[in-house]
Amino acid sequence: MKIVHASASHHAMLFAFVAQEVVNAFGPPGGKALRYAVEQYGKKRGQIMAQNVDPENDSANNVLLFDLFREWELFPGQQECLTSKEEGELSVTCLRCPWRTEWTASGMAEYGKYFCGYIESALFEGFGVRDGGLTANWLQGESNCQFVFKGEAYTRFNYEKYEAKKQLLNGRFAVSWEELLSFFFHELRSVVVSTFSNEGEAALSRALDRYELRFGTTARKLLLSDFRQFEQFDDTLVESPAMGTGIFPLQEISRMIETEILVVGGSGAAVSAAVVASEQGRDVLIISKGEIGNSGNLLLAGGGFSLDGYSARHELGYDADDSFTQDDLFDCLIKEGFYLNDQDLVQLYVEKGPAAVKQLLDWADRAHQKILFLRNGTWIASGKCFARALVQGVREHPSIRRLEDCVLLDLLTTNGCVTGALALSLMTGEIILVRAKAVILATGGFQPFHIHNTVSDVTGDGQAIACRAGAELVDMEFLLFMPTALDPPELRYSIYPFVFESNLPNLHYQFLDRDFCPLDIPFALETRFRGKKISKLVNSYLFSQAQMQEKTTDRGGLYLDYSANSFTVKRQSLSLFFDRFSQWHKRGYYNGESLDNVEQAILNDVPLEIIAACEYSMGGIQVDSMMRTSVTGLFAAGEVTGGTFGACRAGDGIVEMLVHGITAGEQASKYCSECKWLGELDLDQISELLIRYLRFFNNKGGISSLQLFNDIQSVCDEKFRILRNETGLKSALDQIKQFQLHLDEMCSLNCKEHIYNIEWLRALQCDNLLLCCKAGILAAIERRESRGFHFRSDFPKVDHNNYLLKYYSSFHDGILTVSRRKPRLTQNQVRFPKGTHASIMAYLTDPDLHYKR
Amino acid sequence: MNISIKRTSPVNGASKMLKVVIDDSILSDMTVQNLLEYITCNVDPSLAYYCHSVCEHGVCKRCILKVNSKTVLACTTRVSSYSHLNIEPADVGDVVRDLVVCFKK
Repeated sequence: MKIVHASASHHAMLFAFVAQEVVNAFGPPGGKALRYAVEQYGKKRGQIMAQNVDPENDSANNVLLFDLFREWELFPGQQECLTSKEEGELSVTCLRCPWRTEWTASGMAEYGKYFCGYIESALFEGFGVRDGGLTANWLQGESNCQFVFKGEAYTRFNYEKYEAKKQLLNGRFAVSWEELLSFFFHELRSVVVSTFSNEGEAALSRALDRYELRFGTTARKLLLSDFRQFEQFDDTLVESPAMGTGIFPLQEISRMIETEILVVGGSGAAVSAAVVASEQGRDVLIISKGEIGNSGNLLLAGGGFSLDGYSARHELGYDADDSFTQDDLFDCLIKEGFYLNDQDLVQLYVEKGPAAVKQLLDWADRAHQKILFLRNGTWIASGKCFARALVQGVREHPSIRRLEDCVLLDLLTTNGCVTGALALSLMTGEIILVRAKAVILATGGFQPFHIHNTVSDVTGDGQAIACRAGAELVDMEFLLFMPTALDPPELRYSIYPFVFESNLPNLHYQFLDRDFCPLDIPFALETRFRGKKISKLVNSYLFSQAQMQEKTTDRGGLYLDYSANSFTVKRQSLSLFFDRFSQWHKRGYYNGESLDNVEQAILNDVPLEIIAACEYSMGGIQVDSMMRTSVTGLFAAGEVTGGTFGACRAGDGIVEMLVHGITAGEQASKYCSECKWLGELDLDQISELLIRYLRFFNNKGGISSLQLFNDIQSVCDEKFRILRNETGLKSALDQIKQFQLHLDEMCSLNCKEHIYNIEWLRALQCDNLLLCCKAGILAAIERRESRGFHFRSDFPKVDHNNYLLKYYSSFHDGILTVSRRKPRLTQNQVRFPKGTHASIMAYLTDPDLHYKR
Repeated sequence: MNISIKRTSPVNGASKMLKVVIDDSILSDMTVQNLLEYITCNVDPSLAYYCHSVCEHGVCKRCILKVNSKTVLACTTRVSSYSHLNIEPADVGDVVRDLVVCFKK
C-alpha cells in the first residue's frame, strides 16, 4: 500500500493551516489577503480549465461544461451531492465535501470562511460561468451548501449531451493534486509575502511545519517543488491503493504529547524509573497497558524478595544473619545462572539492591502495608501489597504524567536515535504520538503459553518493539517454569503449590506420576533445594524427566501428594499458613480464590494435579550496566531486559525491576541533560507504521486474530515449553513463520471500531509475540545442550566446552538473525568452567561447583 | 445454558442484548471470564469485555461486571453456580463499550 501525499484533504488542511497562521499573525488584514489569494487562484484555475474546452461545446458556456472539464478528482465517497435537474434550472446540494470534512474534524471550520464562497465565484468567473452560483453556505449556518444555476442553456437536450460526454471524457482533464497544491501554495505565498514581507514568510513557515507534521515530509517537499516535474512520477504517486479507501495515515493520529522521558510499563521498573527521573527534574510521562501498580506480574508475586543477609543487616538495619554476603550472592547468581549472566549486570543487582529495596519498603510503610521480615534476608507480603507501595511512590510524585490502558505500538527513530513512540489508547481508540528525548521500556516479560501463572497479555511488546527499532534481544530461549495448580478447577494456574512449598517447611510432599506412583527423586534434590529459588528449576527438571518417560498426566501434569504427613501435622501446618497469610489475604484464601477445596484434599489425602507453568522470561533486550540498549536514547529495565540471570533466575524479579528502574531513570535523565531538543520525527516512518496497524481493518482473508493468538500458544505449549527437541522446535519455527504470513496477509477484523477492539489488540500483540517466539525458538534450536531452564531431550548434557555462549537476535529488513557471543565478565569475574555434565541435575549437585546458599 | 449479554455501542450509546445458548458440557469448569473469551472466539468476536493485563486470580479487580444483577469479578465467578446468566457492565463508571467500563477514580 502506498501513501497518498496529495489530495483534496491536503488542499483543505494546507489552506486551514495557512489561514490560521496568517489570521493569528495579522488579524483582519490577514483575512483580506487570504480572500484575495483565493480569488487569484480561483480565477487562474478557471481560465486554465476553459482553455481545455473544445470549440464544439463552446455554445453551452455554463456549469455543465465547467463540470465536464473540471480539473480535480476526488476519491470515491469524499463528496456526496444531490442534483435536481429541472428545465431551465440546475440545483446541486452538497451533503459532504473533503474541505468541510477536514475542517470539521480538525476544529478549524472557522477558517473556511476565507475560502468557501470566494473560490467558487472566482472559478466560475475564470471559466466564464455567468448563470448562477452559491446560494447556501454551511459556514453561514445552513445545513448544506447549495448551488443554483438558471438559464436557457439548462435543457433536457443539454443534460443528455452532458451525461454522454461525461462518460466519454472520463475525467481526462483531471490535473494531479500535486500540481494543484503546488499552484495553490504558490498563489498563497505570493500574496502573503508581498503583503506582509518577512513576517508573512514566517507565518507560512509555521503553517508548513504543521502541514508536514500532519502529512509527512514528502508531502511538504511536493508543495515546494515545481509542479511541472510531476508528470514524470504521476503514476507512482497517484496509483495508490490507499486512494480507493481514502487512507491518509497521519490523519489517524488523534493527538501528540511531548515529554522529555517516556516510560512504558505499569509495574516496579517503570515506577522506579519514572520517580528517579522526576526527582532529577525531568518531565516524565508513563504509559501503561493496564493500570499503574495494578498490572504486571508483581501483582501475582508469590511471597517476597530477598537481599544478602549482610546488606539487610548492615545497610538496612534488619536483624538478619549476616554470614551471607554480597560476594556470596554474586557467586550464587552466576553459578545458578549456569555462567550465562552478564556479570556487570549481576554486580549492579547485588550492589544496588539494598538501596532499591529500601525505597520500596519506605513506600510500603507510608502506604501502611505490612511486610514480614525473615532472618535469612527475605521480606514477605502479597503482590497486591507491593503494588500498593508502587502506587504510593507515584502519588508522591504528582508531576509524573500518566496514561493508563494504553498500549505501546512502536518506537520512533530518526538516524538510529529514539524520537518518541506511537501508542494506542484502548478506552478511546486514539492513536497517540509521543515525542520524547529518551524512552525507557519497562514492559515486562514474554510468555507464549496457555499454561502460565502470570497476568494476561505478557506478549513481549517491549522486546519485539525494541528489536524492530534496532536493539538486540538475548537469552530468549530461557523461560522460567514453576509448579502451578491444575486442581481444584477454581484455582487453575494459581501458584499455591509453590507458596505451600516455601511456607510449609514441615509438610512433606512427593510428586506422583499419571498412575499415582511416586517419582523416583534422589533425596538430596528433595531436601537440599526445597524452598529455595533454585527449587523451581529442580521441580521443572523433574517435570521434564517425567515427560520424557511419558509419565505425565493427559494434561501434562503430575500429582502433588501430602499423604505422608499425619492428619495433625497437616492441620497444624495449614493453620499456621492461614495465620501468616491472613495478613494479606482473606483468611482461607490465596489472592481472590478460596483454598477450602485444597485444604480438604490435603486433609483427606487426595492428590492434586499440578503442572510446570511459565512465570518469567530470563531473556529480553540486551542492555549494558547503564540500562542502555544499542539504540541511542532507548533504555530498558526489569524483566523486559535479558542478561542479569543467565539461564536460570536465582535472584528476585522484584529486586531486578527496582534496581534496573532506578538505574534507567538516572541514566536517561543524564542523557536528556546532554540532549537539548526533541529529535526530528521521520514522518514517512510514522505513515508506514500506521498503515501496518491499520492493515488489519482492510485485510481480507478471514483469519481471526483471536484464533491466531490461541494457535501460537498451542504450538508453544507443545513444542517450546518444558521439554524440547530438534524436531519439535523446527516444526514450531515453521508454524510460527506460517502464522506471521497469516497475520500479515489474511488476518482481518470483524469489529471495525477502534474503541476497545479486542481483535485489533490481539492482532497487534500477535505481531510482537511472534517475533519473540521466533527469537526464542531459533536460539533453542541452536543451543544443542541442556542448560538452566532449557531442557533438551536429544541433548541432555550441560556442555561448557561448546555452549558457554549467549544467543542474540537482531532484526534487519524484516529478517530476524541470530548470532552468539560470550557473556560479559567483570573485574572480580567468576571464571568460566570447562567440560560437560551428564544433566542439569548433575551440574547443580556437582561438589566442585562449590557455592554457598 | 441461556446467556444474555448487554452490549452498548461506543458511537451512540445504544444498547442491545446479545443472546447466546451454550451447551452445559462446555461450560463445566469455566469462570465468567473464560465464558466471555469463549464467546469472542467462537460466537461474536466483536464483543468487548475487560481482558487486557488482568490477573485472572481476583487481585486486580479490573474484570468487575454484573451477573444476574449482582456485582462480581468475572475471573473468580464460576459459571456452574448459575442456571442462567444475564451479564451487564458494572455500575462503577461510564460504559466504554459493551462490558468495558472506565473506572471513576
